Amino acid sequence: MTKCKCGRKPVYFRRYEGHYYCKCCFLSMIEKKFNKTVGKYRLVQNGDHIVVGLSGGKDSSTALYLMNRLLQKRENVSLTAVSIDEGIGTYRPKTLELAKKLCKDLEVPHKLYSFQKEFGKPLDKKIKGSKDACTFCGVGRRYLLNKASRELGATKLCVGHNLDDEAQSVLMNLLRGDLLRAGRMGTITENPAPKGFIPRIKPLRFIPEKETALYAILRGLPSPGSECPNLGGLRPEIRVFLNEMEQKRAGTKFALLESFDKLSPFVQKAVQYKGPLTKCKKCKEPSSKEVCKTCELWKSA
Amino acid sequence: MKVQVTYTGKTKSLTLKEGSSAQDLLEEMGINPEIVLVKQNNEIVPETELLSDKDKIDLILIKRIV
Repeated sequence: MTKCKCGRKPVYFRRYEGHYYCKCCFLSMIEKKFNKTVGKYRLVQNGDHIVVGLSGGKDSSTALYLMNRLLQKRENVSLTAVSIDEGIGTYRPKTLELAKKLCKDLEVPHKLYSFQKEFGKPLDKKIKGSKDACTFCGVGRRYLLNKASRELGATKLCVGHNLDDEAQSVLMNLLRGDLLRAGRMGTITENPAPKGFIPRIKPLRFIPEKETALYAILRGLPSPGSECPNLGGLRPEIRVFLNEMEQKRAGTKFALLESFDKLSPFVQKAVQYKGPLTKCKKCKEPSSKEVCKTCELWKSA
Repeated sequence: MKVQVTYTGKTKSLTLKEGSSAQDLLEEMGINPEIVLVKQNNEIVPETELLSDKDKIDLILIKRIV
């Protein structure tokens, strides 16, 4: 019978390193990995006010839980959770309830922003069955999370992107030929931030999605359950492809992300990315174009 | 041996060879282990875990694919 190195019954086999983990050792390993990423990339510094983007799903809930755990012993760093109600059928109200409960349990201040209030209509009404739901949602959510973080006086915006999300984004950006966006990727982005932008930190970036899901289940956090009904675009296809590759060659996702991170400085140099240099003439938010993508999609007549 | 498998809300009975693991079960069902966690008789186990006759298996979908 297989056992964890401590002798207990395993809950997880990490194929890419060939080790078994019991519940206790698995939780400890994830927590150490999270803390190591925060330390290595200096994601949190004295005086920081961290806003965690909290959807109420497994990844953002895990990010909030681990960040709150890490900051317990630090009195000079504050934490707030921000949820965005995009207006997605019965799906979002359920996850927002989970987000609210988690913040109450952890005693973390929780703020709610909505597309309805910001853009005048919820996502469901805006897209009306369009296949571009994820584009409208993603652009609106990023805009609103940044704006909310700034309004709350945050110095960092923490998001729950895991290894799978990031490996998928690397491949998607390359397949689209979008080197400008590829060059902006990283464990901390927009740092130092151009005026108006809050640097984004991704402490789960080196933890596979399967491990964040297991962590959430073992800790009793919101775990895999209901799924957003709007799933489209290139990402699902890339996800299937990378999962197949990972099954054939364990460690593929890590190799892809780590290789890209090494190439990233050269990509940034090649595209001469200097951050958003201008302000959107409509909303005055930072933008790389005269009119930002949010105004183009959400605020046009 | 026969096991009872629940996946995405549906339960069915499957016949497997003696000595089959959860990994074998996933392969039989055409499911990539990257997208699920396995519960054997209500306990989370690694996919390498051997299954027994009359086991109740729950496959927890991590993220919907399509």
